[in-house]
Amino acid sequence: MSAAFVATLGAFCFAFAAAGCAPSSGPAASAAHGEGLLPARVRRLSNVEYERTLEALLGKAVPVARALPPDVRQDGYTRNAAQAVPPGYGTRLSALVRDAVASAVGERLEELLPCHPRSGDACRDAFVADAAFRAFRRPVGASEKAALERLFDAGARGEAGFRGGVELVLRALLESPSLLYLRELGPAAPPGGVVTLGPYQVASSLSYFLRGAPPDAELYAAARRGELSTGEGRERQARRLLGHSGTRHQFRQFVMEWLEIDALDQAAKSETLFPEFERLRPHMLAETRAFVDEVMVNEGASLASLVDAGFAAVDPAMARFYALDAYGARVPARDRGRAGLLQQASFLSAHAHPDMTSPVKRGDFVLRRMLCIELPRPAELDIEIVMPRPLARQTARERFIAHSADPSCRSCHALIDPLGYVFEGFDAMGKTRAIDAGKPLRTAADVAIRGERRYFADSAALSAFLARNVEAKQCYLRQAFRFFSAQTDADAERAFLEVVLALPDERRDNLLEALVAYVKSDLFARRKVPAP
Amino acid sequence: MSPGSGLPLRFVGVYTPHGSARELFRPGPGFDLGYEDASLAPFEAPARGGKRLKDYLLVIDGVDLAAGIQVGTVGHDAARVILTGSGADGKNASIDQFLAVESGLGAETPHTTLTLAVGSDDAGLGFNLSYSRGGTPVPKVIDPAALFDELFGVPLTAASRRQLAEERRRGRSVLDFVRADLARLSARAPGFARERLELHHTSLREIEKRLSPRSRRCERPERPDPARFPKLRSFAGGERYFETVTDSLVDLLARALACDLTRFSTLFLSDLTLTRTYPELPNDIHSDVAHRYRPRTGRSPGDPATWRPLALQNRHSYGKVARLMQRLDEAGVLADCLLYVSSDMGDPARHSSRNVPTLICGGSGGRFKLGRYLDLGGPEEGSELLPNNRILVSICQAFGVPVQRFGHSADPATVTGALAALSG
Repeated sequence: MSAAFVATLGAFCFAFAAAGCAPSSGPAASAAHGEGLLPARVRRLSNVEYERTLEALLGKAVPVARALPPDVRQDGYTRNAAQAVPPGYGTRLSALVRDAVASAVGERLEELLPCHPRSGDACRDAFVADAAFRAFRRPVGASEKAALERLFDAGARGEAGFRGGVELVLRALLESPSLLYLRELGPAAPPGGVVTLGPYQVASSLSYFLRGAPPDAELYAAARRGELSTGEGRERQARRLLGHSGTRHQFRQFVMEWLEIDALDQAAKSETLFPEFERLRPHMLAETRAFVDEVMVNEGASLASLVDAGFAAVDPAMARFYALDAYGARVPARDRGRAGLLQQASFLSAHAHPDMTSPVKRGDFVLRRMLCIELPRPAELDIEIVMPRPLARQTARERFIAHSADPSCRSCHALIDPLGYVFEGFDAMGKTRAIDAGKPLRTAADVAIRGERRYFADSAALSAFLARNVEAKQCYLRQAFRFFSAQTDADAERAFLEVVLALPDERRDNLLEALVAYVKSDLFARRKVPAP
Repeated sequence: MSPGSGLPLRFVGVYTPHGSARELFRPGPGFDLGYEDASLAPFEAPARGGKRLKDYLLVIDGVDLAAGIQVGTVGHDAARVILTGSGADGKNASIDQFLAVESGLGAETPHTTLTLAVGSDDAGLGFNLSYSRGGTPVPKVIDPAALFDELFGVPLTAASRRQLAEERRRGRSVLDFVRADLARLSARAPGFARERLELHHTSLREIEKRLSPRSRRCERPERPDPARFPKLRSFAGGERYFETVTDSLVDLLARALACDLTRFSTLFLSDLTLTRTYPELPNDIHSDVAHRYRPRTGRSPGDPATWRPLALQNRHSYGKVARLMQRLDEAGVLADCLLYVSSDMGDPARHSSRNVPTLICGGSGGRFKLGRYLDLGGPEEGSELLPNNRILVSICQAFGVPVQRFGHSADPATVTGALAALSG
């Protein structure tokens, strides 16, 4: 296993030759100073991270993520360094914060305070100090504190009283750049230099890395005691945080974005062909979330367990849809063809058209997101894109085989489409089917992966292959690293894989262990300073 | 040439989907737009003063989204090239943001810019016209009721007027703190992070505008009834309401421009897929109309049966542009508007970003020679690229911003120079 892993690590920038269809390769790792480190950066929290931060500050969930303008995505992930606060974002955020704070202060003032309002200025000062520290995720300077106290007094003027002061301070903190941006800068250093993050920046980085939420009191205490400057200290905190149920959100979010199903709740299917879809959609998404929780908690979030667990985590509605005899968190489902994530209705619905399956979408997904093979888009090759016209008595596979016969399309689609055909046993909303257009279905396909020919009887066979395949495991780790680190950086990805490689065999497939190992490594608390 | 009235010039960038059926996009002899199946037929409609809308129209064929083609930002992704003159690697602002924010021409109005879209507020390349400097897409408004509230707010009573004044006072206190916090952060941030933080400063200036009392500039229109568009998004059941949504957005935009609530705007139109607007068209316009288009080329006569459905889709988009022009004309400001209307593709079946259908509409303050067809097109194969950057340079100059370059390309010639032919 180790030898194969090392060999394919060398093939990280795999060059793939097929006429007209050369997958892109990543840049070679730099040997420069700071190799493998993430860049120093100031990144705006994603909408979901902001929502969790708001929840931590107000003590109650407020659904703002969907009300904000959508995040800019990089590689499909919402956590990234490209987020900003353009006009339109700022105005919307400001209005949402105003309403959320008014409601929190109106309904639960005392829960927001570390003291009783009757204690007057003392309570004001205690509230300001506590709220500002938690919002800024660092000790607050004297001038910042004084400005907040003045703001409190301005808010408390007239009828508004103490309540008005609290409201204005919370509004300012929740809109403040010190809260909105995660700073991973360390001390000033010239471009190309390497910096070490201070204890509070490490605490925030660690918490947002693992949980997508601000540090808790214990993590701040560890920062204060200087414990986060050692790998062991960071590891202790990481393991503690991984034990929190709130950390599961982050893993669900990763899988939803990696599988490109996080937009499924806004997708539609033909009401004529799939009248059940609207009703079942929330159950589908709930299934994937429950499945990820189960695999994360009890299976270490390994790729093998995600794609080939052999069980489903279904409620009664999804159990009926899958023709399972039982419902619950671990219902054996392999004999129904449901090996893991790739046979879940959420995934199969997201990667299909509103009215029919799409071997191209499903095959393309497997190449891009499971094997990290990027093919050129047709427009880049100046190819006329002819959608296969649906004909009566023609299966989707027959339709796409005809389309892929076109010489200009063939070189790519010979790679893509067969990986999609193996899913043809599921319709456009993931229901098992044995016939298409009145004809028996064929799910078996010969597939070429990185130049090697493989035969899969169906998608479950593909899942079993992916579960064991070294390149798929690496791709999974790279995808996870892009999400958790909120950065696409080939050099840092390679360093992450090297950290994982150094783990004992029995822990190497466990994503939780991989993330902990990275947090523990020297890479975590240092950054390279990018060029201007 | 339409003389300008001396009012400040207003800009609207409009995206139309699915390129064009070029055969039915080109005007007939004598600038005839009314021939059978012509996609530009809506511009034959009358305008005030015995004119027609087409008297305020410059039809341009043969422009290429060159900066995108050079770096592979083509097909649907090329929407970002239209107003930025840059591919995905560009970091410059789109022309609406450049003129309004960076050149300060939007400073006087309550809304520096308006960014509108039908059916999708996605931040991806293929869904956005407007970008801030640094390459960040500007968030879009897709809900006509939300747009109305942004523009016109709620009617004020004496009590609510006092409440509003108090809220503005509190809002300004919050803003002062946030601004000081941003200044502290910016001062400590290294150079590579400052551009993003500078964008945040722009955002705060917009909040400040919202907190300033407004003089009454015009009558409030009726608020669009949200019950008429219970869903707003594509592929999520919104399509059946797009006709209402588009018309509402267009009417509110015209009112905002006429009332000088903004001078810079963009509008990203949606296609007819799943809308059932025309029973004779297939339900899936993208797959079954745009992808089936077979143009006439030097090598092939094409398939005329595929031209008409695409031209009908195009005509629908141009009908919305004509509606906007009519509303502006009714308000007496059409002569002082410059609309730049284009698509991400020319031939949609190839996803080609060459020969993108292009219109300049509105009097443009008398800067361009209107009421004519400008055929700049060479053959698809072999001819040199004609970058749309030249149109962007010409538009900047029309607004009195004397740039010679616009956009980003490794080839300086792509981004340099105006398109003199626009002036006749």
